[in-house]
Amino acid sequence: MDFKQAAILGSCISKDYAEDLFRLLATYKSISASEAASRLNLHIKTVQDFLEDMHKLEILDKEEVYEGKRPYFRYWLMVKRITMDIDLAPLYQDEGTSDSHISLKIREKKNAKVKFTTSRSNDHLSNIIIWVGEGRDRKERKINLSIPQGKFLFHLPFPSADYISIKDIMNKAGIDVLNTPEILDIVDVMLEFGVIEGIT
Amino acid sequence: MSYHSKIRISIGWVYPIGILTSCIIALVEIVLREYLLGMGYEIIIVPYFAISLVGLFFIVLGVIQWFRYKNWIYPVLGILMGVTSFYFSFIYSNHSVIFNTIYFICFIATILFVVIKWHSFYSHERFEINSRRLFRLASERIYQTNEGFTERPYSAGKVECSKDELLGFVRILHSYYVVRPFYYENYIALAFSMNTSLLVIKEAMEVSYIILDHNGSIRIKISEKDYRDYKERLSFDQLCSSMANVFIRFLDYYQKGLESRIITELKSIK
Repeated sequence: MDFKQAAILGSCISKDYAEDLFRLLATYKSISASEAASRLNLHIKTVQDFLEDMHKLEILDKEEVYEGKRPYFRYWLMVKRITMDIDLAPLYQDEGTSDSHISLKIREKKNAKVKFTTSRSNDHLSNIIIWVGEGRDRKERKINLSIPQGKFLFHLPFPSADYISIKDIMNKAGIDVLNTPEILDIVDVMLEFGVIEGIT
Repeated sequence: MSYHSKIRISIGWVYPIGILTSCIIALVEIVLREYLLGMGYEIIIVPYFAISLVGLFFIVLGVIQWFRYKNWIYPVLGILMGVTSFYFSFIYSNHSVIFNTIYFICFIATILFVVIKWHSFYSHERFEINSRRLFRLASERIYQTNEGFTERPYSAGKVECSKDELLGFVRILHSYYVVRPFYYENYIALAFSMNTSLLVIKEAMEVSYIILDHNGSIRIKISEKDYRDYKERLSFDQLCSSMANVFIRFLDYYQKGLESRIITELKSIK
């Protein structure tokens, strides 16, 4: 199950009428949206959407039925147990990508329109405030940093200094290699907002 | 080698320039008044305009210094001196005795205020002069002007130094009025500034500062206000690095028992 499917399932399950609807589906051999809606005193559209989502997730099956001139669907349960199994493996960064990423040379960009807040211990940054947009549309975006991220950005070369690779900055800041993914994450965010600039 | 200072002149220099200009205006006014008197006009020789200008000059400059240094003693002194100057013009003419009395009261109040707040005036001037020397020393060998100002502190590495040595070093710098120290649990922050008065700040972070960690780490931050006081936009990372090196060198002098060199070096800078 991917994140999108899990989100749909989670959203449906969290509805306060979800248990009642599943009870009806378990009781009836097959049931239409209008039958279920009238039985639970819900709007037909609400039930229709719920049943369609469950069908997309292959929890329900459906069959088109013709009575007179208006066709409609009847739904029934295909499973007796629902399990949510989300694979987080694709979210991990590929080691090959990390190795090439870590050799990127970076430094702070001139006039980056950003405010750095130093921690109380004064040896790392605690957050960054970035101003996005111009004039009335100008918005403030505050990013709270983890301690390794704060240490990393504390040792970022100044705008007039030479570029230094991410790896060298991490060494200078004394950051563990295990923290590399979160460092690369903040570097990506900073590059996106134009706070830092990089050369390969 | 250029002997032109890289830093803008201190606002204190405006006083002699302003007073000298006012003297010239007063002389011109006296000559003009004498000429008009000779022409038959009934006017007094006293240069009212020049004296009023001096009074206004003191008040305006006091307010400007207030904005710059954030220290209330300057506008108070400016107003006292301004009012005293204004009433000074009445003592040479046949005005009411009330004006003379007010003049003497203002004069005495000005003298009293300077005497009472002498330590503040003296300390501020010494701190500012030495901060200017520090900034001159730091920028002495910097010629690159690619700016690069950032609000982040600059990490300047580590020095070998015990906690007692560090405390002694800080005491020496404070006694020479080079920096104002702020003591924290794990580090000492030394504040210095060419702008905001070090006497009114509550934390070192309000101005430029250098942090000396008890484990020897050194971090430095130069405030935007101080950086903008340079005539040119010097390379900011080089400036921070150079400023840190100045303090590292001073610490080395202290460790070798050559602390008198600190003030000699500061005074030697053009």
